Amino acid sequence: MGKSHYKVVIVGGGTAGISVTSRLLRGSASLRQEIAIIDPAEHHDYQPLWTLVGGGAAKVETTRRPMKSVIPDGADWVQDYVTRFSPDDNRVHLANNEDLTYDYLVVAAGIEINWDGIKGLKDNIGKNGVTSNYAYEYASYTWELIRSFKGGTALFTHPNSPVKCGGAPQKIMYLAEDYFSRTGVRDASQIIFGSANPAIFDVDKYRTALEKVVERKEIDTRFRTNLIEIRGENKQAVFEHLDTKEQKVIDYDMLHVTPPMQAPAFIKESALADENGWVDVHKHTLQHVRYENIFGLGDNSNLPTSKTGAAIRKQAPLVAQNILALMKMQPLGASYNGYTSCPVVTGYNKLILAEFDYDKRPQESMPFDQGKERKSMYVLKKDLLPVMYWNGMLKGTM
Amino acid sequence: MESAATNTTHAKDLDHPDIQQSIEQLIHNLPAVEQALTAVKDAVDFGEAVLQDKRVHEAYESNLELTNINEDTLHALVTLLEKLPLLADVVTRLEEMLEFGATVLSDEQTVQNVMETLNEYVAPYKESLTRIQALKDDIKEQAEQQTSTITVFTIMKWLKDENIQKGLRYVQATIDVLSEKHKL
Repeated sequence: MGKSHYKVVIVGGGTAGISVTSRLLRGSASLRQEIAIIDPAEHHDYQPLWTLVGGGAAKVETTRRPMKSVIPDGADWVQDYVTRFSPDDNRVHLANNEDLTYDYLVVAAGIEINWDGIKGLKDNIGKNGVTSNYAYEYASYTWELIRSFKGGTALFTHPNSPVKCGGAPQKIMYLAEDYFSRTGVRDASQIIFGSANPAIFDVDKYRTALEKVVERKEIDTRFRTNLIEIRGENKQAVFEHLDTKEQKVIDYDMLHVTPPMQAPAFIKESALADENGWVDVHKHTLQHVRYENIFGLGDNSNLPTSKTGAAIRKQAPLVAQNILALMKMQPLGASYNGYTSCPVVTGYNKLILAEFDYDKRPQESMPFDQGKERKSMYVLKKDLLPVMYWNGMLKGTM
Repeated sequence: MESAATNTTHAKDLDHPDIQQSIEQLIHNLPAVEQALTAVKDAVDFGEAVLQDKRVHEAYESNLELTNINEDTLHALVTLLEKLPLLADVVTRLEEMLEFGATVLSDEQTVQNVMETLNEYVAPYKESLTRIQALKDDIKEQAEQQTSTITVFTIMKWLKDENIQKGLRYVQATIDVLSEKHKL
């Protein structure tokens, strides 16, 4: 191992970690070789495109690049797991039993998928008609199930936990419905959305628009129901009603599962976590509420907003700006308003671009009503956002 | 009394090993401190000498006269200074845009993906163009092969063709609509 002390240590080489690193390096050349990114992964994935991979509209290979290729020039990559934090000593402990010390720490380790959170999920995922777009390995299997669907029950779920990209569970359902209609099997199909949420969307404006989509597509929505078990060989899914605790078994022909998610264990068990296990940060400055030299952003933070890449696009520059201000002993000037965005694909060539803040108020960027389904917004998601991501956001310019 | 007590305290402090060590260190560093102070004094002396040197003043003034700097320039400078925060913001955005463009162009994977996407969008139009071209070629070939004379009877036969009839019906409808509009 090389250096044991860095001015800035970034935990996580995902969207948030890489973006903040690039921004810091752009902000101060003196930080070259003074930033370490800790991440054990070999690859970096552009996950927002997995919905379109599942819908057969994008190739899965285009969503993955070697981690080495996205590490910004001027930063060191420490390919290891963090096992523990010692924030009082400004120290992180690694799986190889070595430590790294820091002046400033950024925690951007993302969210952990709990494949064991639903009985039978781990044993059946990738076979028996059970799939999930929440993994690189299974997104292509979703497309296999959709294109070979001959009618019957197509079941889609949303779990009773925070998830990354809250719109993804329903996006793939809309694409599937569109494909079934195009291939003539829609009339012989029943589409069910079993969601733990109380409604199709949190923000009034987009909820109204999406309720119309659901009605038009004749989707059977069952809110406040949570998938608790999969009986793969019998192709049965067991749901529990969150209020009445009543259980119901549904026979399915294809099942798209959004697995439950949680804060990574090494964060949950650390002094950095709040009572729910997320990194406890100030909602506007993103600075840790107890440790002045620690910042948290992205999916692992307890920010009361939807966990999306678009949210990170706004959070990353702000964290970099506030760290640089702290280094110069200046007051933290940058403030986050909870902006997040969810491009809800409602079919091939149709998309509602939801953008909103902490107060669930629309914060739309386009000069037209984004509550309408639009082809232009679909093209934006499919063809322009990936370019902006790889070449702008990860480079600290967008 | 108070002064005597203070002196006693100082004397006690001098017995403290840490303080003795500090004094020793200070004495040890005195030559370096003296050297640094001399350097600062030299710099101050140099500054004073420059300010008092009339020839230097005159040289600068004559140089200034040769430039276009006047009151307007100074006003412009102040205006620019005022706008610097905004300009810095604009320049930063411009720099980011340029850098984004350069990154896109130098990223082989992105360029390849963009080309594939463009081909996807262009493909239907390309197909239509190919069909039209093929149709044009067929017509040209047939026309070149035909050697028979076109007579009045051939033209009358054309008139029975459904495609011609359709076209003529449009002509008729256009004439009807135009004459109705003319009446109004």
